[in-house]
Amino acid sequence: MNPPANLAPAAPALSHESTGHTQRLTLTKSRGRWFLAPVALAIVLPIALFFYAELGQARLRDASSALTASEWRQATVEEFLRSILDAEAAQRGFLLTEDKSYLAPYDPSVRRVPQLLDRLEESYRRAGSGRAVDLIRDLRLKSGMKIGELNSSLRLYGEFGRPAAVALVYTDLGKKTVEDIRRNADALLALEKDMRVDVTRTWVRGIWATRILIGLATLLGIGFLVASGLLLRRNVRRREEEAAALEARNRELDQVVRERTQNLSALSSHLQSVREVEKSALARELHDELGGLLVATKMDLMWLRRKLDNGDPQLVERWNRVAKSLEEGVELKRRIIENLRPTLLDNLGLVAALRWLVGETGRRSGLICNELYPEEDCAELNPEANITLYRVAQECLTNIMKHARATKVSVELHCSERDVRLLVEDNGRGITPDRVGVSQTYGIASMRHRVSGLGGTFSIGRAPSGHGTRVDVTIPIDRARQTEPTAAEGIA
Amino acid sequence: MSTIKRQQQSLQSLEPIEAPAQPMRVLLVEDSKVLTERLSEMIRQLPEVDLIGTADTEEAARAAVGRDRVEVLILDLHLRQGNGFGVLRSLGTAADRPSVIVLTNYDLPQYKEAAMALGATYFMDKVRDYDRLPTVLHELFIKTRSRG
Repeated sequence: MNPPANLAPAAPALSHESTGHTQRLTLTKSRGRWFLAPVALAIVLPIALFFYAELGQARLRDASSALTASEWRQATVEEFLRSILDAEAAQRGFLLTEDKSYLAPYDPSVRRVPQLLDRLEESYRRAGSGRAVDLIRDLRLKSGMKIGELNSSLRLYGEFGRPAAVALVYTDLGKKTVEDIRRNADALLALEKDMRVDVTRTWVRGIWATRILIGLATLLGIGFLVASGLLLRRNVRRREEEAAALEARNRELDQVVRERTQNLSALSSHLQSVREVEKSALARELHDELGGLLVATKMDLMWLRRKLDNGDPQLVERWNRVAKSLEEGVELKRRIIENLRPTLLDNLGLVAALRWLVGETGRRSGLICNELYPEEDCAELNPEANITLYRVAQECLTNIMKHARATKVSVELHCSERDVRLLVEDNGRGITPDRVGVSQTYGIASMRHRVSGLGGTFSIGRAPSGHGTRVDVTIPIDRARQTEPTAAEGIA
Repeated sequence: MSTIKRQQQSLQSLEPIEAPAQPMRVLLVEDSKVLTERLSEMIRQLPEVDLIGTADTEEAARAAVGRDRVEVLILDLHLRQGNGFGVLRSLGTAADRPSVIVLTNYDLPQYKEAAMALGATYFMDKVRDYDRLPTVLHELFIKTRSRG
């Protein structure tokens, strides 16, 4: 009637729903981004650690080679000092004893000194120690002076004899030079020691740094693992909760569906029984009221006829027509009543009613009908079972006439101690399985429903012979006999 | 037309027989009020018949049969409570059981068979055969009185 008014509240509800949806989406997204940081850390950190370790390794290697170089330089400095002292000792020994053999180590030692200094300088240059290079330069100078002094003394010895040479020795020139050399060498050695301490400290620091880093990485790794575990657990728990919620929702829905189905089923049963009751009521009314009226009319008509005796032939003719119409009316009323509610069923029982039904069907359709009934009537079936089985048979026969294109029908009723069984079978084209639950077949659904209402089973399918359809209905005997107050009762 | 004439003749010819014998005790079992009235009216006009009562349920009919020495039952199958077959069954097979004229709207052969099997003497359709009722009652009267 009023679409804008109806639409208006729907729109906000819709948009509200959609915002809720996007909110949930962004929430998931940010949660994902939050997760990225630790993951990136977990990837970057080991790589960084690896490179740092490599760097440390290189530094350690450098430190190690620096130490080796330092040791070598220390040894070289000592060798240099020894060489100086050896040269001096050789000169002194020779001058003291004039034994030439004392001079044997002199030349090699003297030659060795500049070589050692060269190497040392080279090494210090490489190590980048300016002070050491300065000291070396000083040492070169001083050792040059010392060697010059030694050479001079030996030259004096050769030119002027021993006393001149010894006189040179006695000057404190040489002594001072050696002291300078020693001091410088000591300074160098001290420098080396400092350098080694430095290197060692760096080394130790590097080791500690690596240790701390590894420790940190390990802690982080553990932290990450724990966090992952927690996250995973939370995830799993959430999944479980979601699954449980879903399960609960499903159960709820199931329950709702079951309830609705029950309601529908109850409603359907109710409608069915209401329909039967209404049919019965209508049948009774037709029988009682209309029937009475018709019979009364017939009686009056008979009275009129007697008065008409030997009367006007035209009147007699008219009377005959009225009587005929009345007969037809009575016949019509009977048919209607019988179709509404088979009176045979209530008066003479199921077998009589089935016989009549099958007979009528055969007469109307030309079908060849075979019937098989128990010798003793399944007496005392309650009205509900009676009408159910009767309606099933009626529906089957109607379907057969409408759809089956059959030439033969068989109707069987069996009573046992356990159940009442109705079989209706035709030799028609057969029902296809996909049609057993669909449209033609509200009738089928209705039959099924009726039968299950009595705790019975209903099955429809291809006849065992392979041609045609077979409907097989079974109702437990206790439900078929038991008398309970039902809608159908009291109608007879 | 000729049947009707005969019936009228037979109705007239009944009258002389009335005097010597006791009228038959008849119970009308019928659930339609209109018909009960009409039929009662018709039956009361018959001299050989004493309508001792009417009933519209199986229970009332059975009670009346047990109580009132009914000789003839005019029985409708359709009743307000129970049905005519119940009444028929309750009569049993004794020799002195009342004769039964079933007068019903149920004209299916099954009903006739069932009623006859339960010992009904006549099975009549209300509409088609109702006007034969006086004749049938007369026949029964002759039969019972000649027997008695």
